[in-house]
Amino acid sequence: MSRIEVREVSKTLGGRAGTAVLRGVVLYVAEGRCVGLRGATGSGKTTLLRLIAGLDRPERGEILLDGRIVSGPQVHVPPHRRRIGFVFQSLGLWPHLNIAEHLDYVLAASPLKPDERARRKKELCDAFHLHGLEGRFPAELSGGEKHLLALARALAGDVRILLLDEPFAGLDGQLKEWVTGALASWRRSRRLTTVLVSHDPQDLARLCQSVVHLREGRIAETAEVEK
Amino acid sequence: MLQVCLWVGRLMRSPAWRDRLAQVLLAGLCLAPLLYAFHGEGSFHSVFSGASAAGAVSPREAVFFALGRSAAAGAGAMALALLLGVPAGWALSARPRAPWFLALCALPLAFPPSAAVSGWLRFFAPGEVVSAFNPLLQGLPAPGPLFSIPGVALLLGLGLWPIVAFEVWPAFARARGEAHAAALLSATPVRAFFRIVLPMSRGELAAGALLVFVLAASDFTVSSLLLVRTLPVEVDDQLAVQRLGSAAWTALPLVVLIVAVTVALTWGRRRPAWSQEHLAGRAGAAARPWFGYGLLAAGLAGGFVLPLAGCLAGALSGGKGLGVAVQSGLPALLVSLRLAAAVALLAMVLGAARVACWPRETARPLVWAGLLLLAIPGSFLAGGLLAVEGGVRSWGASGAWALSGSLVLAAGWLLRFLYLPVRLAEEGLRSLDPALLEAAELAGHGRLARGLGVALPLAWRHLLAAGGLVFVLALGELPLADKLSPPGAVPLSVWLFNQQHYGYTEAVFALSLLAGVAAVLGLALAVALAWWVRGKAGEA
Repeated sequence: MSRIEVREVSKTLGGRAGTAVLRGVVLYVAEGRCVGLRGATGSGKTTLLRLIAGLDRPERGEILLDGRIVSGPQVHVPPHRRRIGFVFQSLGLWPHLNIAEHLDYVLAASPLKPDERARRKKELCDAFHLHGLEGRFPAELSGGEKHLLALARALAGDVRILLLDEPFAGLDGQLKEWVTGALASWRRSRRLTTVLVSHDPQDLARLCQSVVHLREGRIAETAEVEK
Repeated sequence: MLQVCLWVGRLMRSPAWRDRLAQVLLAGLCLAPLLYAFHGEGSFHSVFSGASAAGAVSPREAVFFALGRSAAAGAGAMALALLLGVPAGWALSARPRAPWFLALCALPLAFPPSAAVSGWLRFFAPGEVVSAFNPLLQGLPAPGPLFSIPGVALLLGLGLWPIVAFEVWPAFARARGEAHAAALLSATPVRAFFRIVLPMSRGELAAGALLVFVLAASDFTVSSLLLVRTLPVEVDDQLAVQRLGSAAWTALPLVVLIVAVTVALTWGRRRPAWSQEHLAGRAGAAARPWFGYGLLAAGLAGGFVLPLAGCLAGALSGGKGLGVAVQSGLPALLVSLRLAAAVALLAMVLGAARVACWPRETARPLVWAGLLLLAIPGSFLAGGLLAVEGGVRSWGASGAWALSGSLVLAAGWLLRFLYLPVRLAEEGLRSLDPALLEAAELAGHGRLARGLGVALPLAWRHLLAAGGLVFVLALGELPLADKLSPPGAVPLSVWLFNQQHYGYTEAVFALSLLAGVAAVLGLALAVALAWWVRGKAGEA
């Protein structure tokens, strides 16, 4: 469990003369909640996720996790110390590692004991239908299986926050329904604070409690989702 | 027999096979002088079965000891080049669109090896070695730690590390996508680099290591100046007494070693199925690669700044001043510049021809032939060309006109550096979207029109880079220039090499400085030209 606070964060891409992607964004995500982010291409959704994860640094403003500043003018906590799981838009799978090695790489950095790691790996493979495919490399997986692996990898470590950047893009109806179901149950059971970027209103409605609309680097509106 | 003829006929109807045959024939033509060298004076028996005088090592032992020294120098240089080149490549991949940064990294490679030896000796050899080299030949003073296999490996590694950096940085840049960002979320940057980035770039890493090894193992200049009898020095000695056949047979073990290492590393760098995976997304570089910048600076200092400063200090230490020494070397410099520019231009034309003829096809036989010609001792290639020249002259005067002047040397340099235009043309074509050529094909354009109209305008940057590299490397090339330059047109590298044997005087340091500055200016010119052409293209 963890809460996310984004305070007046601004970010420009492409150097000083580049484009301002975020302009004084303020966002609060309470513990265990799932917030959806939507907006047009280039509105700053992915950049905001990357700033929260610590993969980029904000030019102005602060980001706090559990009340502790992790990104600010003088502070930058490295990504691997933030306990964040991230599903990238391109998935970012490691082409030279098989499924088991993907999970091992993440689990090796967690404080779990070896037997707990093995149990977690099995649990994830079962939950995301990767059982029996552990020896396969990403190039040998179908599109849906790749998405499942990306989700399993994001959840493998000792994470408290889950950031999802268009995680269901390219999945067909039935598989998407199944994946979102598996993800929702895993998220609920661990009360993971989640930020989901999606263009699909159905995905947002299914997983999120509220949806934030980004427009030209600013938060245009916030709406609660009616269940 | 008829069956074989029919089979060959069927094969020749396939355009792919015709292309491959043409490439193999061209590659064979390039390698032919090497085979011709074996017909010269001296035989396998004289090198590998000859008896030794009492108490002396046999010719066979001498060859294998020299081979061991070459391999040791090559391995040492490769280790140092990897140590400096991998972090430097990582730093380069953080600034993939900065040509000045690439040019900065190329400085150690462009700095002529003989000038680097002068610079290092100025600082790290006993005073008597620097002031008077001659007593060394009589075995009087201990020449210092640089005159050893580790010394040769150190100087070669410091000069060749940019090859590793240039090989790996595009792969590092590709790996810096979201796959790297994902790795950073659950591990330290160091672990993410060793566990994710390095394995994803292992092919390029192997290629860089291989190139450094073969270039260092077949080096003549540094090992000769530091008095280490490597195999290229043995080959050169055989050539000096006109025993072309013996020189070829002496070089053979090194060629076998190079081919074996090449095959082993090529097998190791086979592209696995996953290499075609699209690695997309923005990099996860939250921090600048300071460690990489640090080692890059160390490599620049060792491979360029220190030797240049040594040459400058040595040149200014005498009372004669720089002007006199520079004036004495100016004619040789002009010869070098003229020849190197001509060869660079020819190399670009060659690269352009390769792009125009095979815009969609690979030209592996030419790449392999080029690699072999770059990797073998230069003296061996010189011997082959001398044998061909002798053969042509013996046929009569009709063909002799073609061998006059500096043409043989230019042809030798072109063969020696063939790898660069062919390999860079290959890289340029690989970076193109195949759809561009397919669209031209669908529009009804023939292969040559596609090559000239689509591929060449998009791959010119690679060809320009090849031309620039050939220019600066030809300026510092020694073994071919030493054997093939005609009387009255001695290039600067040979002039300097000859002077170095008489002692490291201020004149030698001034000449070394001149050679170094010329190479750096050549590199700067190539970068400026690339910038200018890119600007013109941008305006268009």
